[in-house]
Amino acid sequence: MDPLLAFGFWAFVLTFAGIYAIFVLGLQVEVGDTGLINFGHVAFMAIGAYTLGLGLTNGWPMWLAIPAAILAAAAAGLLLGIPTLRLRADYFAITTIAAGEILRITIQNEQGTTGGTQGLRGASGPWREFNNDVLDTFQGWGIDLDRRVPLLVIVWVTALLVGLLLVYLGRTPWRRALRAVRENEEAAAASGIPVLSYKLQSLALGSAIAGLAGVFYILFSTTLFPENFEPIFTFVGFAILILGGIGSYFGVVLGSIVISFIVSGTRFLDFPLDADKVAALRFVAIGLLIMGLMAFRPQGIFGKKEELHLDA
Amino acid sequence: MRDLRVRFGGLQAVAGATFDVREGSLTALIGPNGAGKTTAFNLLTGFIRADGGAVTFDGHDIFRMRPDRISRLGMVRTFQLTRVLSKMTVIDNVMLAAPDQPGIRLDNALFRRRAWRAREREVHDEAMTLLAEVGIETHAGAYAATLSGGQRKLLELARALMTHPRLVLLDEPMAGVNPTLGRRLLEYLQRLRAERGLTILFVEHDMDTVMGSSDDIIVMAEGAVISRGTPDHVRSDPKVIDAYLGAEPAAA
Repeated sequence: MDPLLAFGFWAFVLTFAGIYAIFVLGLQVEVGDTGLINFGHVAFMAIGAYTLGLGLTNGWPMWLAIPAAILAAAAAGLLLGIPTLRLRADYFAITTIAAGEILRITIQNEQGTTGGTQGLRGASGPWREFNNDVLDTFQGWGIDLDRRVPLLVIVWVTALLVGLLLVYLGRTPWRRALRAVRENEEAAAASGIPVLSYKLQSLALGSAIAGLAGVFYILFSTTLFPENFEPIFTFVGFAILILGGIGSYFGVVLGSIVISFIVSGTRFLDFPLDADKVAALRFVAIGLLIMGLMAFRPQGIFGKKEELHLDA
Repeated sequence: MRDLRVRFGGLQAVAGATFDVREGSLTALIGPNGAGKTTAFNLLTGFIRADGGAVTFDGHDIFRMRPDRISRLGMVRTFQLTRVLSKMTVIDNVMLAAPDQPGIRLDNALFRRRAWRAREREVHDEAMTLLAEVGIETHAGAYAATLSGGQRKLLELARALMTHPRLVLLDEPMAGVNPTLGRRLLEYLQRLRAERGLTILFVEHDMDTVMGSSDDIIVMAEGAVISRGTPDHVRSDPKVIDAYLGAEPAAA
């Protein structure tokens, strides 16, 4: 096998994995820490991606467009949360799917602004310049880098930083309050915790992190289509959460790599089936994985087994 | 702290109930099952929305206020069917309730580490002391879900006291707790009352405890308050005897 092709394959899979890792770290804050089942998480990634895309095509510099994208995603999270977080968990979950789909369809229909199904192009100019600058710098030092390396490294460094940030927050009274909200809202309220406020904070933070994933998504894919942001993206995120173990940040990283391989890596391998069937089989594989985990290892790779048997 | 006055109207479970709780008293709320005692607690502390009436605490109008705000004002309740944070440790359950935790805010948690670390140590020590007072300090590091029913009652008591309350509403605090420990806890509560002016309103079914230790008794039946007063007064009130204290079977 051509060595360059092999590297290209892994660069693709691992960059995709890194983006998913960031995406799911945000989901972990909402689901793992606070118990919010957010099936519309992809919407906030879409907001991050499209905000950056639109910002760049309108001439904004990167250092402005990127924070704007993250803030837009966080604001959207708050906007969603204010009316919906009073709903019971299952109703909240349903509402979040609807919210995600509403956003996606709006993006699709606003062809004039977002390019709709034709895709949003032209956002990658500034990034390509930056990428070339980095490659040139390394070339100046005598190191020949593959052009895909800078993004790969930046994505994973960011994923690591976000993970470390969350681990740090994990030891704070703030996180204790979030977990109390997850465990028993009434007990938390009786202890003086403003439950709704903490749910909103969790949603805002999770959405901001999803927005960050969206930033990398558009840099990675160069063209954005609304179909990229269908609910299945979030469901795959949940598969990663379950695989890695709900509550484990390191599990998210490992789960992302495994799932990313299944979802995107298999695109490059040769199967004796046509492309449509392979695409469908991919999701069958993920479904089987989830079922298998539930049956044999429900706590995932890094989850705590004892926690499974503790009732309220 | 001024008298607490509660008046509800229009709610089936609690129909027009009115009572005051004197500051610094140990007041018992008694009544047959289904009398509305727990519902009254829920209404008072904001867990259920009353249809009508008024609630004043320490001069504040707390009618329909959010439960966490009522708790922070100093009126804290425990639950009849315990609600513990199962997948958190026992000590975390208690530490959660401490007032004045800078680290509970996201900005402080992120950027002002020194501020909250010191307070966290204090909170930890205080939590351990409380756990020792109620007798479950050896379980501090265990998941709260592993505690027995009686131990969960004790955990709820520790959690409530951690908030530095002015008034505690204890819903059957000794249910499932062994009598010796129960007596010790009662003494502990009385000490807190004497030293800190803690006001206690508790629901209790054991008449010996109620008659022996309360300053005041409020009797509820079928959603209404049917009597109140000192143990002697209540004990001999015919309405109470009828409804609750075991009316003699009608003489043949």
